[in-house]
Amino acid sequence: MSEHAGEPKALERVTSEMRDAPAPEPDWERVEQQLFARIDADERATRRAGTFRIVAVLAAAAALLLVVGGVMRSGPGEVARAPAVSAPAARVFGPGAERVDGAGLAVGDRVVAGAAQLAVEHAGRGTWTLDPSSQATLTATGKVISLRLTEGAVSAQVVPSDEPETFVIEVERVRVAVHGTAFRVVRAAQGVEVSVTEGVVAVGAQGERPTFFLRANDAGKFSSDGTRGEVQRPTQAAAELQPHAATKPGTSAKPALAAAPSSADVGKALDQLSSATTSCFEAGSAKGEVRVQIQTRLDASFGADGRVRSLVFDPPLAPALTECVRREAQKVRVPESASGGSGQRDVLLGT
Amino acid sequence: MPAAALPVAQSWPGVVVPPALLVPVASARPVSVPQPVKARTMEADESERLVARCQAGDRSAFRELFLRHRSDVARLVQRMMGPGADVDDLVQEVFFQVHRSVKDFRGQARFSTWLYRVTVNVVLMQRRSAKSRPLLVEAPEGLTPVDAGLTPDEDAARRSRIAAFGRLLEQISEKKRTVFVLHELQGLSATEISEIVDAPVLTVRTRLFYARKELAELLRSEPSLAFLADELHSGEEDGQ
Repeated sequence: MSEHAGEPKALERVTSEMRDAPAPEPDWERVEQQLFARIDADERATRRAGTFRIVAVLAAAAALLLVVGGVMRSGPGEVARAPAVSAPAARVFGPGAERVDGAGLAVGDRVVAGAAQLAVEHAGRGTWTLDPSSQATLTATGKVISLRLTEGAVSAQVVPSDEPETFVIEVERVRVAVHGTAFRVVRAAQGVEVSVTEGVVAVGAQGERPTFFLRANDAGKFSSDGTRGEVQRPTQAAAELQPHAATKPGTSAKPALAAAPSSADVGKALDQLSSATTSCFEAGSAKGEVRVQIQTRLDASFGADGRVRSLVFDPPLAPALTECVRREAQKVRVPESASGGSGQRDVLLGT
Repeated sequence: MPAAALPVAQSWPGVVVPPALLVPVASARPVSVPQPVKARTMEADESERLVARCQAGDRSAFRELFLRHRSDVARLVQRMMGPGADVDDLVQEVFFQVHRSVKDFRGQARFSTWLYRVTVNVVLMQRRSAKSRPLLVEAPEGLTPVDAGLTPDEDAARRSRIAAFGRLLEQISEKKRTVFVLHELQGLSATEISEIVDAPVLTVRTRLFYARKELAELLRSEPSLAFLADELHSGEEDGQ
């Protein structure tokens, strides 16, 4: 169909329809209740800030006086480009405090830990604790609490929920998301370190599906863009996966090796792992049993030697089934490379 | 929820509203009812009086501001975020930011302009945060009850067009979308928008021009809008 004069009119019509659509009707009672609860918490936090706040205000006042003095001296013509409407400034919470009520924080607020740890509590949602000399900025509130770790380390204890995810920590381009767990994120010199105490944590690049899933007692190191990483599992099963993975100290990588296995090689290995999962599932299901269907996401990483280094199913499979797949996984290889690689595959069992 | 249910013109305590503005509640659509300059000025004056009381620590004045402006904020949030947005939480965030910053409001602009600026900032931050979040579920269309003046199939077609138009808005740049929504849907002038987005009026007009142009070009990618364009075009030809 060719373009013609109908488009501008259609644009005008649909704009008018959207303009005339009834306004949304939020649950105003709930909004008002929560809003005033947050305001109360904010005012309490402001009062508690005490000496620190007074010093900051005095410093700000002094700076303002200097600026105003400068502006007055420079004459009115020179302030013409100043924006007519100033946006609200973000606040800084924490130095000197040990605890902050998360209800009093707004998007854009910065939380800074001084010489001691600083805990931020979101009632009923969870608590995150900054290590000494660490900093984070709140980037979202509401259904998902999201923060950006700008310095140091943060540990979080998140209350389990039915939502797909309720708590997110971003560091550089790495995104760590959870819906109920305890974990710790460290902004390291080269990348990001994540360790998990309880539950499952998803790690990946911002805007992408998670690439890695870490479970209790797992620890991982990830590149700053969240695309590469390595998960260490101190469990027996994980150790079984890499019996020959260790390289002799001081051995350097062969110069002819590719940086990572090709996506075709990883895809082929994932096909093998997916088939192994299906075979294990079928072998484990006795005839005459009630037929079940399971959909899971397989997350595999491969070491530099080409062997399967880690294997995670989300949601997890039964332990016996997982063990079966792990045994089969020892036969799967990708070509050797400098840093290894990883990949994911959705697996539907019971079809 | 008395304030939200009333037409905007009727919800101003102490304001003498011209009879022409007192539309019946059932058909009230605050945005589409143009306000005379006098009424807008009175509204601004009242809001500024409330702001002064807020700055003096009067919490009831802040509540009054919330009740007075919450529907406008909710409407802007939904238009900028699209269907499926968490309007409740964002409105709450906007007024939380307003409460924190209202003491810094010096009246260089109208309160509503400042409020829109806060709203736009909150929405843009939320959009940026959501952008880094993978989409796990398709957002529901969640659109509006049946319009009394339309048959069910006309209403379904209208909903489908509005949803399609929402998808088109997602395809243009953040800056153009913001200007388009503020001008075409919220009815703000280029001068007001320039204060909200902190850009020269000429830039605002340019963004608006290109937003319209791009949206018109994108219309063909949505079948319901392409159909509407064909329908309007053939109607035009028949009339010639």
